[in-house]
Amino acid sequence: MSATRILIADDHAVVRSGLRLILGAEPDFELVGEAATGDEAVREVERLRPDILVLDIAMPGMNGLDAARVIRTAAPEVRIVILTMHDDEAYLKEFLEIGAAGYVLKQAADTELVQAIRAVQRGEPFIYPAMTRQLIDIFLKQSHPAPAPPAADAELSPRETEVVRLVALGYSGQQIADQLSISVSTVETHRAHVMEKLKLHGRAQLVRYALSKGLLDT
Amino acid sequence: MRGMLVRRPLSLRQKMVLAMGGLVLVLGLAGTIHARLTLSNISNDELDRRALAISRGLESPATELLLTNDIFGLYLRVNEITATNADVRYVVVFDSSGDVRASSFAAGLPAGLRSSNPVQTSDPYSLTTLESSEGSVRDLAYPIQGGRVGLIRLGLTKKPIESRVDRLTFNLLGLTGLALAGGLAASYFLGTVLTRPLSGLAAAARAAGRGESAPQHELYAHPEVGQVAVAFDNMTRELRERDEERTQLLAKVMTAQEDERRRISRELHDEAGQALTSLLLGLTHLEQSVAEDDARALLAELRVMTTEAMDLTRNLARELRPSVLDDLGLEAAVGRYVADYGKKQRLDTDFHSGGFGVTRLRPETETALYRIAQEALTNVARHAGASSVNVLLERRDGKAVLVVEDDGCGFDVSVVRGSGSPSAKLGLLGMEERASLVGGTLAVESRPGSGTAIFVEVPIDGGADERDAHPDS
Repeated sequence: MSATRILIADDHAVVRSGLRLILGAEPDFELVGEAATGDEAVREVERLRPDILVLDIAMPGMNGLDAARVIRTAAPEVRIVILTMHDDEAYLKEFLEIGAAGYVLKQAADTELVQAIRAVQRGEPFIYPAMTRQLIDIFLKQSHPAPAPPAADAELSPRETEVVRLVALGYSGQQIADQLSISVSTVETHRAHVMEKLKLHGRAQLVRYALSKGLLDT
Repeated sequence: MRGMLVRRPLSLRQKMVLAMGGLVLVLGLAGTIHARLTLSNISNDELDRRALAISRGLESPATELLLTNDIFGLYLRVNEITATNADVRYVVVFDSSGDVRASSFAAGLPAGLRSSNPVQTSDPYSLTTLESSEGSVRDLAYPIQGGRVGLIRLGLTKKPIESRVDRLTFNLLGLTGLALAGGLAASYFLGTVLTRPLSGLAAAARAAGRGESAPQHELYAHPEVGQVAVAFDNMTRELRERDEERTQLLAKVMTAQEDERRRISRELHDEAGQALTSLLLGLTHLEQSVAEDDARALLAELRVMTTEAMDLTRNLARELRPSVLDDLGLEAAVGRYVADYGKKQRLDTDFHSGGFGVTRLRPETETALYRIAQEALTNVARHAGASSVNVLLERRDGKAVLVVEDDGCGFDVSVVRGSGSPSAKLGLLGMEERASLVGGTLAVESRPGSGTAIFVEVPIDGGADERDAHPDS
């Protein structure tokens, strides 16, 4: 079995040397090159065609996100392992969408990076286990973009529908009252009725309800 | 209201009207009284002279007729006098013994007339005014030839004089009234003209207080108020300039603060974070290469500590300014903040966002909305005692809308704005200021017991304000 060819892209020399120590200790890994910026990473990937690219997000010039996008199109066979301090769901989601194969936190680089590279090399995706929660959240959000429609699919009066629409659009009670030429307390009463009828809790649910009913399409 | 009890001083116009009215009234009344007195004096003198003239004219014929005892001739004379002088009420001729020889009274002398006007022996005649049923009568007792022959009593009515004086008085009072009306109108008009520029300035000052000032150019030429208007305009201009400067300064301070936070956040993240990363990797390597169990255990401990330091550094950096905000935009940053916040504060949070797509808002708009959301949520955690918070972030119809709504205790917005604690007031003001610096507006709706909602709207005008999230792709 030939050694796994790895390219490291991180703007910090100390991190690169640390990574060299760790990855160099693995006999079946071969460090083929290093890059300190996003642009350099793109160039080195083009030149060296490594199996694995270990990529940092925060880099001067072209950052990790943009570099990953370019590389995914230019060299789709190169598997990208993101190595970052960010445990934000948004980054994870972004990279999964771009097509990164692995996502490892720097806090876990000591234990998980080697593991991640091996998994990715086998063709399995690798997400740092502590981020599984975020991953599940993303999955749940995508499979249920709107919450389950209200159990009681009650009929709303035209006035109530209008109030729901305006509340969902983010208008204040005063603005809605002005638009409909009614008092603020009437607006609140309508809204409370609707929430009660539809068994909704909170403005966000109301917005999702309005979206699911197509009230905001106009 | 207490203010109602305070007696308001009179306005300039009221003072002018009062002064002018009083003056005209006093002058008119004094003139009328004076004219009335003068006319009645002159007329009385004239009446007296007429009485004397008539009596003197009667004296010599009466002497002759009395001495010749020609009663009929005397009667004719008396009749002639009453016939030719309309104002003669009566003529009575007495002889030296005091008997009536001729009289214009058909039914004898009225009672009391005889003794009503005695003549002192030293006087040539006596004049007096008698009051009768027909009004005042000027009575002249004129002794004929010093009283040796007899006495003429002549009564001239004062009615014509009195009615003339009354007519004059009436006319003068009428004129006074006209003058009063004219004077009042004139002073009212004058007062209005004089105070109009002042009222204009007062209105301008009120407008300036609301922040909508327009220069008072038309007043500059005004002789009295012009200087005040110029000074006023200078003042409002300076205030406006200072306010603009203050706003610019505030924007600068906020930008500087944001830049500084971003810089420190990056430094923490990059420098400290990367140094810790390499330390971690070095420790790992060391741990793998040493054989002693004690040393390995210690190194493992150090690794854990390093990991914790990295977490701390990352959290600190994110609290200062999350890199998500710069890298992935407002939606991701607020979503992340709300999620963390809910966990930390043990609050139900529900975040909904929509309409943002791939285009990004202007960085300062994103920062402003992020910071307002942060401040609003911090306030909810601190004061609201809420069990759930809803955060809505939407982009539609050319504006970005942020709503933060809790189900907590709420508060009276006007009270907090007016006399609330400085920190609460400043919290609201700070959010408003942030919104207005990016051209947006902020509204707070809350009532004690029914939660609080913060509404922020920031206009996003067209493509100029958007920057592509992926400029390189």
